[in-house]
Amino acid sequence: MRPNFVLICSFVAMALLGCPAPGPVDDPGAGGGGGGGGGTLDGGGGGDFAISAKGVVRFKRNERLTVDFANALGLPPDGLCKELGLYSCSIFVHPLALGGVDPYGSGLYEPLPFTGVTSPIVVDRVALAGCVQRVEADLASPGAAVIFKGIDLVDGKVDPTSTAARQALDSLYKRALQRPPTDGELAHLARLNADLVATGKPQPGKNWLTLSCFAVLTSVESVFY
Amino acid sequence: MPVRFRHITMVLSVSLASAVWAKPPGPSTFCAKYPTSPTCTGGQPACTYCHSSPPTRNAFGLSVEAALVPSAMRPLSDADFQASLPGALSAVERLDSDGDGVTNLVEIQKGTLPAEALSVPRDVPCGGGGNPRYSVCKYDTNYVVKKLVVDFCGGNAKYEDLEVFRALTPAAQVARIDEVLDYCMGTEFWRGKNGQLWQLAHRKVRPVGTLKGGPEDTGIVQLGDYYDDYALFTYSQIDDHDAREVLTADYFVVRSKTPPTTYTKSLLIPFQAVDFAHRSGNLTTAWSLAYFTMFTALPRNAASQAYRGYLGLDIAKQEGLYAVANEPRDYDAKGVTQPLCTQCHATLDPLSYPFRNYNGISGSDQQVLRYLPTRIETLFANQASTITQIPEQGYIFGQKVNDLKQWAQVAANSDAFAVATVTDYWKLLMGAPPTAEQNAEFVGLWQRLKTTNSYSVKKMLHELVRTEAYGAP
Repeated sequence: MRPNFVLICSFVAMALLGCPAPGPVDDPGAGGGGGGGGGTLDGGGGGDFAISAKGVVRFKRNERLTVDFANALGLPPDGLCKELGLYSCSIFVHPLALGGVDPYGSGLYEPLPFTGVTSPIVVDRVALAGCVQRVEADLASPGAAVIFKGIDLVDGKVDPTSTAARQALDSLYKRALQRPPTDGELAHLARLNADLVATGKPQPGKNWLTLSCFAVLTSVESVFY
Repeated sequence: MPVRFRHITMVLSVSLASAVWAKPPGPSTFCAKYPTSPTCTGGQPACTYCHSSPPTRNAFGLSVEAALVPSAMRPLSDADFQASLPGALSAVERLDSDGDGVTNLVEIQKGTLPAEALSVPRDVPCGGGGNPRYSVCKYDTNYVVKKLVVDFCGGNAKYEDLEVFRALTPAAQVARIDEVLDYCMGTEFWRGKNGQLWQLAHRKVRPVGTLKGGPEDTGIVQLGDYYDDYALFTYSQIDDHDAREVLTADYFVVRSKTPPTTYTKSLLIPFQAVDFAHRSGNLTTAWSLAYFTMFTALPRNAASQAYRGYLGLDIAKQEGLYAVANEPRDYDAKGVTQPLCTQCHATLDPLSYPFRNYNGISGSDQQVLRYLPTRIETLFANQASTITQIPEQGYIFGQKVNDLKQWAQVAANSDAFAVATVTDYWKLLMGAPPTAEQNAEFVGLWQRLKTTNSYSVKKMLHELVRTEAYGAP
């Protein structure tokens, strides 16, 4: 069994339970974490969740990821992420790492049956590039904001419990994962905000918005289906 | 040194003799004994069921061999082998040859491999408890519609649309799933250039960019326009068309170059030179003849690629072997009557004979990529003394056929074709071939593809998304 498959299996129940972000896994060998464990972010109060007997989730691969990230962020697919500012990260430069094929050039007719060590790096790269664009655009033009609307930055900080921040996260979850966030997930992101402020680095609010977006887009629930 | 040489000679003799022991009646005899085994529904076990690589036996094969009239002289005749194999199989049913804790009989019944310790039935019971999003123990329409849009449309549905779907009655949800599926099967993601259907075709067409002919994405050396092959394949898979026509069509298909992509039948298109009477779908396109036949007299590669690509049977992996008596004849003097070669060539050579008159890229411009009634006599007569005796009549699945068009008909009507077609989609949508637990639904799909669904992939897919295998999280 390849390590990435172990990882996938470990998060199967999380995806099915509606708990999107990776977290500590209590029992990877069990193929999921029911019963409030297994990496749920709702404070362990999940109760006796049903666990899928099949535990089958699939990597979305390059085309679906590109479309999903672009749609979630309101960006054109070909502008989501570009290497050197010119070439699409997911379609042109790194498609094979994301499970794409290259039938005409290298004779790769089918996707590789497993993801490689660079696959998560490319997913992170694409998600971060898209999130940076979305946050900068929304903060620069509040009137045309797509996700992060009405965000007030006070001394470069954002109050994660403010109505605007809550609405932005609600919008982000619905666009990326087709469901609203749970209270546990909101609390988790609020803790992320506190951690960023504690670092003392500049623009913690902007970074929090970007990394919240990044966390949601790179979650198992977003990358697999 | 002489001793070592004698030892080597003895080992070689034993190996060659063992090659003769690998028995073509094995798979059919196995399936006569276990007709309901998933391994036998729609096909036969490959040689690797009992052999690691013939003649070497795997753990299960060794068990069977030990129980196969041990007192009799080796090699057994085919008749003796066939008569004693059922008893030997019975004798090893209670054994666990691969030591995975599951008896051979249970593995045979469940469709897992009795010689592979990692291949075991997985009858995992569904867990109890509730789930706020999905019914994980049974078919869940909310799960299906979300997954279906990702699979067939290429991206997530919108939150608002899924909420509307959730509010529908169960019957309305089922109807809506059908509507969404029909919509998605019309998208560019599904049927457009380089869409999902094209991706299914890659392994069959085996394109090479540098050799591409035609006006679009032209390569450096223009041998054939394989986009025509993609167009016919895609056409055969959409809009209730007959999937078999990918092998039997006497027409070509023209693809529109701008979205929305459309596919239209045409009797004549540029660069396709095989005459109407001898066309046989993607078996006889310019690309297939140029790339798979190329300069060869007897196009074994063209035959084996068609067998692998469209019927899911890879002769190189000992699959789909139906040895024909007194074959191979070795008309082209390639040495295929050597004992170790006959194992495959007794099937492959007669499988290839019907391709004999379809020319690749030998000869003049007036001869290339065409059906030439005297192709071997005209272009290859000097290659071997008996080469002109290659018949056009051949065999597929042990059945005699007069020419390639008949070959294609038998192939397209076979269980293997239906199994391969459904397997393609199963792997595309489930991510893996059917498991032993999913086998009953899988068999139902390919059997109905041949019957009630009239070879319509569209109808088959509507059924596939209703299976527990697809729709239970």
